[in-house]
Amino acid sequence: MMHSKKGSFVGFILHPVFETVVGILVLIVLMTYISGLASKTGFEKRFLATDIALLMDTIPAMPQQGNLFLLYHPQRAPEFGVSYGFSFFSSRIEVNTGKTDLKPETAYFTPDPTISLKETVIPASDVMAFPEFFKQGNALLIDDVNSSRVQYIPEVLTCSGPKTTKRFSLSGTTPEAQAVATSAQTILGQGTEGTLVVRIRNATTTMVKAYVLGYNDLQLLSQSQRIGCEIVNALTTTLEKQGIDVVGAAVIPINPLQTSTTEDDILMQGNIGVLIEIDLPVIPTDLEQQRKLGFALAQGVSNAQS
Amino acid sequence: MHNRKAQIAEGAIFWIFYILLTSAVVFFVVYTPVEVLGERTKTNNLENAIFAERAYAKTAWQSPLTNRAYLGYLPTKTSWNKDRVEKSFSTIGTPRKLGLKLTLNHDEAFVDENFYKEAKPLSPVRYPAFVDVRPVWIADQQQFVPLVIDQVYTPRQLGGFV
Repeated sequence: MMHSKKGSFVGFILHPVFETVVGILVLIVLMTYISGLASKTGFEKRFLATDIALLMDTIPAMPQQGNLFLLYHPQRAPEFGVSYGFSFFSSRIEVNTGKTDLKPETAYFTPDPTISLKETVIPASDVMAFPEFFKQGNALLIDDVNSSRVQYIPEVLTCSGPKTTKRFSLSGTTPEAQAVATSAQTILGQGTEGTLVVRIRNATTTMVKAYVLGYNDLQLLSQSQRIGCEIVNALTTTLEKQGIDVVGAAVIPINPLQTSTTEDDILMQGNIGVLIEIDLPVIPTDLEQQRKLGFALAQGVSNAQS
Repeated sequence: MHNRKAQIAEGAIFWIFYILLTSAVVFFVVYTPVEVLGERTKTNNLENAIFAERAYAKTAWQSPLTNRAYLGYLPTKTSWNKDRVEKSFSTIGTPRKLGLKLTLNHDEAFVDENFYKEAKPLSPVRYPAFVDVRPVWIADQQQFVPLVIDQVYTPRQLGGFV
């Protein structure tokens, strides 16, 4: 307690002034912070990053053989006042408000190594564009809903099983099929450790099938299935990109007791043997189409080789 | 008080308390909205439930003929593909560490076994843990057997799921 009159006056005035100044400073700091919240972009970026990262974590939980098309469209999307850009990397996603955004929000996810993910950038644009996801075979593809860079082919199969180092001899059952096989053989080089036979049939709907023998030797079976699957995928993709609608694609194991036709004898050889059957509305008689199918066949074989 | 030292001490004690209490008030005023908004983006255990679902899906038996997967089914208790389970999660490139142990009939499979064995004794204090149990039908035993999925992971504030 002060006895000085001057001291009492100073204490009486300065103390409340100081408290007022501190109070105003706190208020300014708080209002600035709240104003920053009101711009919403920070919170929205974090929400989108977290939500999409959870989605990336969830996709590998689906059955391995399944394909998926998913359009990401969160609730209340039309109320986003700002357009956001998305960058997808191998194990994280970044959400930003554009190239000049210095503080993008990042969220990490835990990928499945058996599903390949290509790094993708969806830039922020005038029209808000959410990502769409395609799980197709062994790959996860991402595209902007406003563009069509990715062609979704639901018939693509998920291939599993060991790759092989073996080299194959290719042949066809008809002149057109033989031309396709020869075209592929030219790319791959000669081989005698396994047999691939191509059969092209005229049909009303387009289908691509690979027949393999249901061996007791699971190693041979799984290698044959791998080769057949990769070839089917390569042919399906090539035909779809040409605008030919593939209705179905499959790898079909054959009961060895039920094979009887000459072409199916290739499945009895005790080694990797695959019969590729392509059903087309129009048999490819021109060299260009035969070469494209041959290239796809070679690509499929290469994908299955280590 | 007439003592000069006492006056100074009184003032010092007053201002120390004053500044401390003011700082505490400012901190809570700023911290509360951050926490409230942060609640809206917290995932809690959702991601762990997702990982458990993924691990369960990977234990599904796959037919060698058709490659079709049969979820929650195994022909024999040892016919699950542990290699497929162990290679189905990758934390490379993320600040997060994740370890899983799957136990089926005393048979075990791990994801990041080293981290799991290091972190499990320290959970739940140092590392959060999450346990889920799923049924698996064992055909040759004609019974359901529990598959225990035990997860340990780095907590978020140390660079976990950001």
